[in-house]
Amino acid sequence: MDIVERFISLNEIDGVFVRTKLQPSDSECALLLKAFSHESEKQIEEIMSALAARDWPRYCVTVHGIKSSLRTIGAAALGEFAYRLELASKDGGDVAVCVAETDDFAGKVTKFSEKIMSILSEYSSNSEEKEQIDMPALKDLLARLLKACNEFNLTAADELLTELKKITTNSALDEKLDEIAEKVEMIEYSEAATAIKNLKEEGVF
Amino acid sequence: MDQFTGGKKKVLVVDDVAIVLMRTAKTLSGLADVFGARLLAEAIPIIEEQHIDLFILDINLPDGSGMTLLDYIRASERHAKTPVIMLTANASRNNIKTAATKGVTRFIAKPFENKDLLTAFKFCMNIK
Repeated sequence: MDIVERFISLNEIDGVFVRTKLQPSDSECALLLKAFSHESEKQIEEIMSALAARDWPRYCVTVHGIKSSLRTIGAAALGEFAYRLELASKDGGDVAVCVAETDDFAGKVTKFSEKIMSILSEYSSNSEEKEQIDMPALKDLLARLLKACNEFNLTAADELLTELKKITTNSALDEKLDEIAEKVEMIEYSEAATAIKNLKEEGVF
Repeated sequence: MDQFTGGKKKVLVVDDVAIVLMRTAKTLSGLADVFGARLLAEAIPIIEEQHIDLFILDINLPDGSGMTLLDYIRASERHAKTPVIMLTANASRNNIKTAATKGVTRFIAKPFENKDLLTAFKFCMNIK
């Protein structure tokens, strides 16, 4: 069974109805689902924090964002749930609904996200051979990646990410490079740029 | 060849949802250099520094509205006539009407299919 089929099987979870419009290859599908899980964790934290503070504009913007993510990956029923909360919180309209139902929503999204991560872990493979890179080449690669991140150039960053994932320094530095790669993959460019600058300041390259 | 960049078209996507940025970049890969911003505050420096050939804008953003950004784009000398696609879950009649009066070229409702985005891209770029 491929990733898309496994993903559709998540209908088994209560409150999730998957009608996926994902059409890319397995690897791209995996990337989108990974990004969803990564992002939804932060969004749920933000929603719970906004709820606790009764900050309805912040709640509304965040729940709108997670609705968009859910609908983009095809999780229709959860997307509708988010939409209901968005409407209820809009201009503080019917916040009693938000107070009563946010816990249930957060629990369902979290469970859904955990299931996705569980599926993705079955498909992940770290067996690809990596090529040793020397310091001047690494310095050049990171400088180009820093420029792409600073410019928010998705195309260039994506191409450089592919290069970054293929190389190794065979040293402790690899762990930091993996962290940078993860941030670039999740389009957290400001954080990636900061991590690259930190390496530079530490004199690593 | 593009007269401004001498190469691929430049597209700026403004959307706070990472997977929308990812999908757009993957869908247009090979056709355009895609820049992405998750906030108005991130988008404005890109608009000032780059010559963008096509904008793809969401409406609801954490620090403001895509409609405000659309006004900003239309008011700029460099991008006043640059095509704009609105890509949003808020595809209400009112939003479509407002966007049309502000000179939006195409309106795509979320969730979108890749082929819809490709068709709109080709239309805006005059690609047959």
